[in-house]
Amino acid sequence: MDIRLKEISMKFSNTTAVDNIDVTIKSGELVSLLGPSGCGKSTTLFMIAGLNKPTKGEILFGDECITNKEPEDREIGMVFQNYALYPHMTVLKNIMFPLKMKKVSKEEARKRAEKIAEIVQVEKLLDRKPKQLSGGQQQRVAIARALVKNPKVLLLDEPLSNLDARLRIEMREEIRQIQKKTGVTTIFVTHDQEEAMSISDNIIVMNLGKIQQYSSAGDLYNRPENIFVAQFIGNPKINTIEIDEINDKKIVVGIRAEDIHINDGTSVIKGTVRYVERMGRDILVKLNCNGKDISAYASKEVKVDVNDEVSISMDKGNIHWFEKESQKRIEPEKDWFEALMKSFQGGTK
Amino acid sequence: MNKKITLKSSLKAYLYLLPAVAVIGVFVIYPLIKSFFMSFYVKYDYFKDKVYVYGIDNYKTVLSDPVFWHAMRNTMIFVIGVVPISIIISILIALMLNSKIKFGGLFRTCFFMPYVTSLVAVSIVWRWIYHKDYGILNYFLGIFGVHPIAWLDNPDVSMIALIILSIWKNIGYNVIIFLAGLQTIDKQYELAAQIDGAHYFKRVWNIVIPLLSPTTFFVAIVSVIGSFKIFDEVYALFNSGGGMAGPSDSALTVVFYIFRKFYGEWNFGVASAASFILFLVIMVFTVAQFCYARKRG
Repeated sequence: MDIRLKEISMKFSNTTAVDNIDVTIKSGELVSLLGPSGCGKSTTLFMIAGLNKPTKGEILFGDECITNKEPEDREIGMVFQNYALYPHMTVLKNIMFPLKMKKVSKEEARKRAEKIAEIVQVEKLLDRKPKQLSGGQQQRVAIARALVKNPKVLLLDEPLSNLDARLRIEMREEIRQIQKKTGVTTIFVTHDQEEAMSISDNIIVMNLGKIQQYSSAGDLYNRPENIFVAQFIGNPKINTIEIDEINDKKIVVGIRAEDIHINDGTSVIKGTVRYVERMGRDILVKLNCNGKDISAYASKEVKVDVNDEVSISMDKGNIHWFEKESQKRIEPEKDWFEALMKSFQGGTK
Repeated sequence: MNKKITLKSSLKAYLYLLPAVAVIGVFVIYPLIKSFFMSFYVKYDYFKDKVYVYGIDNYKTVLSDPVFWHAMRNTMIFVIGVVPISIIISILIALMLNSKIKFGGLFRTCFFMPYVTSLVAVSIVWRWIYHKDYGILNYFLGIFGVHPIAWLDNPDVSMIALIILSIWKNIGYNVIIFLAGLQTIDKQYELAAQIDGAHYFKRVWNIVIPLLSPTTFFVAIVSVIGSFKIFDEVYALFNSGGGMAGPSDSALTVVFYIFRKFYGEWNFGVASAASFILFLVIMVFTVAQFCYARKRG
């Protein structure tokens, strides 16, 4: 069942949390809502859940408009950021609760709860209370509770943010597997790009209540559609260089650190090393080229030290060009690369 | 800050505590101990504070006094009548006030008024409400075809009149406590229950009420203790002035019994013994409640 958000807006007194977004999430996909805090991703999720009502627009599940349906009638499953397991109920009762509300018979509810508990591997914890569980276990129970009624949609609101780093990676793989196994359309809210990239079929990047880009993880990284996405995705942050007026246009250039090479003998651009960060496999080198600060990756064999003068080259094909005014991606014209090189060399002007 | 406990620092602390300790000692602890001992006075001279014989005669007198048992029975009926109903009504009102309604603050104030208003003043109003011929209660009951009831003069209904007044008076305090309790419940649980398909009443029943149980427990303890000690309402409502507690003693409570033994009959030993018995009864109930709460976890 596809989820369609039709020109949705959400206004809180005087701020617009979500600004006219229009998007379709395909049946059976896992889609991440990614963005910095306050970008409207959680509000969007809460609107899909029905916990917030949009001030404008419609939400469709399949062909059915559910904009005015109460959350309890939407047949969704949701995992909250801090799981919200009912503290007075045992794990089993927690998982059975949605079925109890649907008036499923006790025996059947029990059977289904036990089955889903096995899938998320909490079958040995059924008699415990939530506070006797670790964070990871609580999370599994929360997922089980969300899935037990076979919801049309599974919503996950930053479900991994309360777990430690190792568990987070483990759980996200598991969430992906459970999602594939059950085939439920899933929306996953996160502010962690790595998490979004690793888990999702497609990613919606949001900022300031607007959708910035909706595409696969690969496209997000390799073909960012605007400056915000280019800067938001990727670590370290993409290098951006402003070039004055080419053909009366102000251009912003984005180059990722791994597309800049140091001392590979092909270049004439010079830079001074400001800082060297050893990261195991690579070295992150921060340089200053003609007044511009740039980060570049070098392989660990390269010997550089602070204040060294080095030569720099870059992959022409991996440079991203944006128009400054509209912030949008544009295709470069022939002479732009030369203009970029010139801006690095300075002095020659 | 000097964290070491020294003689000097302790003395200083005690000095600060002294006023409070003195007041509590003189007005609470000393009378408590004194009345406990007084309950064992058999032969004594009150004016010279001389006791000739100690014994348990006072307890024998109280326990074999049918009037005491009548008072105890009434008190039990009162506790059973007031506590559950006032808790249920208070929770319902607190739930309503806790939802988004207009003039919530105004309603909150209204419900709290009975608690802060002088009981004597309140009783005068209620005496009018209960009035057989001109009372508003009988007027409303009359609409449904009920014949006028002599709330304050008929021994069969006087306890009911007392219970209604007390429920009304207790609600204000309980509602405030329940409101505070409701506000400590994380909204997240209700949202989760909503997602899980629970409509309002199911959410209240399955999520809110269980999560409110620590507050309910507190209110229950306080109400039970308070209700066992019921006295002023009887005194004020039936205008008893040391005589009868309601028509033909029909609203006699244990504390009223104690009061009468003390001020009416000047029988201090018996009054003290009855006080101590009441203390034991309240303790048994309170301990039982704690045990029940612990078992429920």
